[in-house]
Amino acid sequence: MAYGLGVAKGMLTTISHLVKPPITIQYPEERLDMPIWTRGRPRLIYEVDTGELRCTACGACALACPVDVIKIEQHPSPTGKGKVLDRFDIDMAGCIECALCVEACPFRAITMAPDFEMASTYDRASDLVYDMYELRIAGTTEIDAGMEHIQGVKRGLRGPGAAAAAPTTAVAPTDYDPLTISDEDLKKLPPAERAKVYRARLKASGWQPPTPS
Amino acid sequence: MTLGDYYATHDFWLGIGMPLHDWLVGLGVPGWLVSLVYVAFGAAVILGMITFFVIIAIWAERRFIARLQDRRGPNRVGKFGLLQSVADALKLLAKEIIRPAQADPTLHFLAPMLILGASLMTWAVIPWGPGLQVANLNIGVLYLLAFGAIPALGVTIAGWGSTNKYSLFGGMRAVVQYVSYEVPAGIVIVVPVLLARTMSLQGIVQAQSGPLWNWFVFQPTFFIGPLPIPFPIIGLVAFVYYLIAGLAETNRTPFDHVEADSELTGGFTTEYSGMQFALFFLAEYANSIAVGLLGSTLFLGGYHTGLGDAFDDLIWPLLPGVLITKAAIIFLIFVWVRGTLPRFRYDQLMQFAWKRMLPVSLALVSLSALFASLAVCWDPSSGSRRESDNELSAFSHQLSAPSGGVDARKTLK
Repeated sequence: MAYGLGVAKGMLTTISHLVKPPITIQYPEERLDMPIWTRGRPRLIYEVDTGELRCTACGACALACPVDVIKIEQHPSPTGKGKVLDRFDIDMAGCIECALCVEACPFRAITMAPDFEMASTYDRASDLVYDMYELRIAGTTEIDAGMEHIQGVKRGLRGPGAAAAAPTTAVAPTDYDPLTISDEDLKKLPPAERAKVYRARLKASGWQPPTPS
Repeated sequence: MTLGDYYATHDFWLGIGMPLHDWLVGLGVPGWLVSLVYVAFGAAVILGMITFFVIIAIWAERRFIARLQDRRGPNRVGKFGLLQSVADALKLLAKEIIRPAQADPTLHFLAPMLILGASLMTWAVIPWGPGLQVANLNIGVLYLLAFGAIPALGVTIAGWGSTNKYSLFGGMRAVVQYVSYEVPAGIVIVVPVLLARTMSLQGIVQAQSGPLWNWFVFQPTFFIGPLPIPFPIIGLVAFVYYLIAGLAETNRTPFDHVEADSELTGGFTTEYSGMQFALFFLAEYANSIAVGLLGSTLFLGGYHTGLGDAFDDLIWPLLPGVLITKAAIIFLIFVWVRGTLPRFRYDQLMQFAWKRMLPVSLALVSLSALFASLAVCWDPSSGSRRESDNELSAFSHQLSAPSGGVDARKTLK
């Protein structure tokens, strides 16, 4: 009498889902906690201590962009060394968030931040073009960690991030508090554990995703 | 006391309808006018009820099937999404009705009305309470079978009148499905008719009055001393087959290849937009709820609570709610099946109807005829149970001694 047993088993499976909570996240009242490596809007990183952008106006990201939405204007620096960034515009109406600009940058100056709520209703031609002041983001360790899967672990080209050098092969600590772990122990953790620490710190710092205006 | 006496006082018609009629006639209102008003009122109430139930059913289906799929249903339009169906209906009303230039205008226009009309007509004979139904036909089951056959015609007309090959294919497939499943459905509906000895739906419900084991879904019920042992080899199988045939007749999953958008771009409904499309959907949901109501009426005891006649007597104005609850449970089972099973392949569907359901339903009819003639049966003329008075039942008496076998315990007190 195996007739219908498969159907009965299937029906029991389905009805068991009735008592489980649904997995829907009711946007916009509830928002998902996006991980730090989420590919959203590209942002220009500035050093937290000096406030200077890491960007040297080399134009590699504009060259790499497949949709040509990055517009860079620069002039030679009066000190004779390097260039000064005049204009750095990203037109988010065209940006496909492919992160090729992040990959191309030799100075870890641009990263993909988890911003995606940029909808505007007025004048889409100009409202979605972000200039270099709107694109600034602090170059914290968490932000650098968010780029790790594209740019590799930060080797420290400039700024205080140079102290957090290449990961060592020391034994990783097993129980630790993500918010109070020291930097040496942080270096010893495998990348997945480090990401957890960064995420906890980001959350604790009270970072909020930008609200739609 | 026979059931006839019982119903004389606790009956919507004898208790409320007829006294009101007599009082109005006494006031000088002509009798035909009162009857006309009664009929019109009944029809209006039924139409309102159908619309209300369909809206609730659509809401319940969307919310329930969403929970089975780990998501919420629509919950934005109105509290708990209750106004979602209203919003959908308004949207469909506002759409332009496009008729293809090559389509036959009469056929194209007529098809949704035929289908919806037929499904509305089947609601007329459903007994909602003792004495409460729009039409107390004593051939109610025949009426149901007749009007259940009209959607097949409507679907043919829709498919052909659209002058679209996809519609035609969809329509033909739908018709074949309808006709194939009408055969076992019709045969299985004969089972309660045999057990109740009457084709009147009100009579079938009255035959299931009393305790729970009198319901046709639990027949045959044998008694060992005072203890009832339901042995539902007839009743349960007939009920399940009726539900399966009902699923197939109303194009619900897993028999919904007619509406399989990915296969037939909408089937026979392709060339319909706006309110005509809404009529198809209304007809489908009205049919599903009607299958639930009829299943409860034929097999689950209709408006009886199953807790005995005394209890039914006590709460007799609430008995329509009992029927609606049973129909709602059956409808939720339909939604549950929809959330679980994938669609049948077309040849599997036909095989199931002709090679599996048809022989079993014929066997069911034979068994129920045997049981009805051997065992205690319902006598609609006297409204009571009596033992069958032919030689065969006398023989079975001797078989089931020593306690006297089937006995007066089953007659009403």
